[in-house]
Amino acid sequence: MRLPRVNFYPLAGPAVASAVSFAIGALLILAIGRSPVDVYGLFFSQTFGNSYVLGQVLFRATPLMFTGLAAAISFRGGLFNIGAEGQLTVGAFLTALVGCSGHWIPSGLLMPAALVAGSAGGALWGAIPGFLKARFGAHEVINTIMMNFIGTALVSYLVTNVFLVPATVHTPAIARAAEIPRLDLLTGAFQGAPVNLSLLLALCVCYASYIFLWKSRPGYELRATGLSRNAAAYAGIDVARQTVLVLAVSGGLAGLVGSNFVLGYKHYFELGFSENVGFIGIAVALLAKNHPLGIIATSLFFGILGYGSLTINTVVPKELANILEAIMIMFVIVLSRLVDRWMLAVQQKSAA
Amino acid sequence: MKKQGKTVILITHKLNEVMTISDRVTVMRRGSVVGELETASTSAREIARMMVGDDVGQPVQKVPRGGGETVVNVEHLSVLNDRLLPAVRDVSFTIDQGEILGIAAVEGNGQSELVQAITGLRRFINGRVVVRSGNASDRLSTRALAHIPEDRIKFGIVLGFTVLENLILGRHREPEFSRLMLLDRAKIDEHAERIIEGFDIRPRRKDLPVKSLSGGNQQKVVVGRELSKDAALIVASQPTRGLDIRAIDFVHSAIIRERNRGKAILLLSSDLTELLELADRIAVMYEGRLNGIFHTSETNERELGLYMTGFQKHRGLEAAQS
Amino acid sequence: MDALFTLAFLTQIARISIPYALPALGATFSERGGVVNIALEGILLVSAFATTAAAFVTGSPMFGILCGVICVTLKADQIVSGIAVNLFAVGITKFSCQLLFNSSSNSARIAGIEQWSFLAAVPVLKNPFLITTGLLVVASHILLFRTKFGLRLRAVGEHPEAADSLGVNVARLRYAGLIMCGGLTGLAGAWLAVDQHSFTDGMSAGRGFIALAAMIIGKWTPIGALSAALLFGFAESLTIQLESASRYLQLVQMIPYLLTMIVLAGFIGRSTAPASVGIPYEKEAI
Repeated sequence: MRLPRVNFYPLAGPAVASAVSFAIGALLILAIGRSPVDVYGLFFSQTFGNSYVLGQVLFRATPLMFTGLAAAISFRGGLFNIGAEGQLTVGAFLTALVGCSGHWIPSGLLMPAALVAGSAGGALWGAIPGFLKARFGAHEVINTIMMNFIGTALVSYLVTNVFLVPATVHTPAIARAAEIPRLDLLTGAFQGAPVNLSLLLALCVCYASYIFLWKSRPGYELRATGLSRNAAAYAGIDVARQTVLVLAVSGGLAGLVGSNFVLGYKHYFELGFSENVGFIGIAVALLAKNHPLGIIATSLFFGILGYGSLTINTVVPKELANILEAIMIMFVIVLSRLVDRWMLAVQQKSAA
Repeated sequence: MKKQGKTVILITHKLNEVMTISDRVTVMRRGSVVGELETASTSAREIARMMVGDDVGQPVQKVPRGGGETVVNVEHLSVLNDRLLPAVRDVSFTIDQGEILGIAAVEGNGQSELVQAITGLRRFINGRVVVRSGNASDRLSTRALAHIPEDRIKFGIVLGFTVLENLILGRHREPEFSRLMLLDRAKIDEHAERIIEGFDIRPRRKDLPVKSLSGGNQQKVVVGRELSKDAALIVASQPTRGLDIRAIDFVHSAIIRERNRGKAILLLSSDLTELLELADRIAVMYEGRLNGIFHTSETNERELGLYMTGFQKHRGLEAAQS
Repeated sequence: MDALFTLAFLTQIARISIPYALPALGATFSERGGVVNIALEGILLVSAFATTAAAFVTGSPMFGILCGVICVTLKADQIVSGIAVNLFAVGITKFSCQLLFNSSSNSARIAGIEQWSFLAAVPVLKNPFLITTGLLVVASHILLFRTKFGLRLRAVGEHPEAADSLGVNVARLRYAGLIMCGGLTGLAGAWLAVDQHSFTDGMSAGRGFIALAAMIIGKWTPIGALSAALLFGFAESLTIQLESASRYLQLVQMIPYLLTMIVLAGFIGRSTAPASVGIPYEKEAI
């Protein structure tokens, strides 16, 4: 009689990586003559406790869920999408555009239409490198990077020259019907924090991605292709089509980022709003081992990191958070390989 | 060397080597010696029995076959290899119901490309492959065809998947396993348990990552999945490469059972003993062409070897291409 | 049109092209050795900061340059770690900038570089970076295609297993490619800081990626990389020069990226990466 065992091994790598990066952070803090205990103490006491702070953390976690999923889906499909930054820029811009100029759309449909436009923009921006890879074998890493810059340049040209509110770097405001309500207005909790209903959307999308990857046929095909392109072809899966599809889905997820900032918070698109969430999404996905439900947790973690770094800014520069994030990525990729190898050895032993 | 008075220790799992070269045999199992025998006074079967610990089941016997109808018809097939050079040149043959056609060739004489073309993994430049009524170049016909690929790690299984997930690879679109866009977990579970039981995959756990299984059990995953498909044509490439005796025996029996059930089987193997044991007819390929087709009962390793290396050319082809 | 091709215009092209050409040259080495280095951007940023920081302390820009180069022995690895390095660079430069200069976005002003007076007759050449860049391109070409080291480096990028079986130390050569890449990119970072007389946050502004593009368009060759960098520099200078066109600057800045994608897709002559680029080499376990 053997009890089903819950497998905690996959958590070991990320946990160690986080611990190590905090330790290195402590050394940095020591190096500049502050006390790590005080700084981390301040950090945690300021990021937990009241509902305003929680709202701030959730607000920061929301876009990370989208970009984290974007990265995870592409990793699962065996591709590397570093183009989330460009995809979300194009997507958020289109979201704003539909939000402020879609007068002909019935008001009840304006918000969904804006979301669809954002997602479609991101999907298109992802599908182009996908197509180039499938058709010409051009490497998606380089092309998604290039698409980042093309997207940013194109959107900044459009914002500064075509859709500008003079003396700003943002578009006109969206129609009221397109706005996503803030949670503090709906529930009374999170007073003053910008967290909004798009958090719910993000959570739903995380869950849907989980179902998609493990319970659906297209998800099965996506993972099979990601793990072995040869075996996928053997199984009758059209690998070229998968390549375009994976990057389109990934880009489509990144394209939803606009829901949080554009529809839920500022109600316009602003250049440079994303603050690297496209890249941090890669860290979010890696730390969650590309699991959609894990991404909920790691997004919150990075949300805490992002907001917490603001609270300690008076004592140590807030860029400490960027440094911690970078170190975490480094250690996750190094450690998880070691842990996986060890885990396999353990399983083989128990199987024998 | 033995004649020079040297002592030779030969470590192998190839029993015919042991039987022909050695004087004495020491059999080891799980790190300890289980017996020591004089070669002259023992048999390969006895050594095999000692190696695996119990009697290697009497292999399934081939039943004599009645003239079944033709299942696969390969006509004037020409295929290019990865470097776009001709690998298969104008190859034609047929396989009937309940027949195993073996392909013998020295590595690199076009046999792999031939199999890939027949199974739809490689385009062919000329000729056609007709499986019963459907055309094999068409991907839809993966259902009509079971394929045990040459390189199981590369094609046959997804190493990162569990045993369960691997057991539906290539069959995941069958209506039995997926409704709308969702996979039917209950049906898949049932299917997996049936194969794990039926093909004796160990350990008997469908949720293990397939990479934690031994090579023999991984191969059983592939063989089990493909043979449970009920396809008219089975293409088996090197189905026993790298397996231990017990697993080899198991796979051989499974193949013969399918033959007896009336399947057409194309068997590619670099092991001539295996071909002679299993096949009804053996086609020899040399430099991309068929260089002879033999009835197994009328040929031997020596003759096949001469045709495989091109020392002798063309025999029995006219009859096969009629 | 005459007015366009003034000395000032040429100088501007050179100014813009140097931070494209040097990292592109560096990336040529690392990719030829089989390592994709998308950390160019981060290295550029860190070395620009190190240049200003060291210069601020010592007052000597030359020492800063040296420091920028050394700083970059940050062992850059493949894509994920490249991203990590880029994120790290953003963090550490702002963090240190805040500490040293009390502002996370701007450093204090540093001394510019001494002009080489003996070349004063030819003003464009007074800039030591320009001459150095030119010499480095020629040297790199010779090193890559005319020496044993270059042959081995390329072998390691194409077919590490074969190179290994012939007794070439794959790890060491890849490391060498990366160090050269780091050094060259560091030099470009130093130039950025010296040219602007200060560090500003995010001052690399995507130049590392443009350099990557230049390397691809230059088909993994030093001279090609320089030509592509000059082409980008020319296009940008031209846009800045033509006032009426300057509102399209953002669109002009897309050109390198678009061109890269077109080249990668094989529309303008086939541009093929070294066969084993991006694949970590691990010896078969025996």
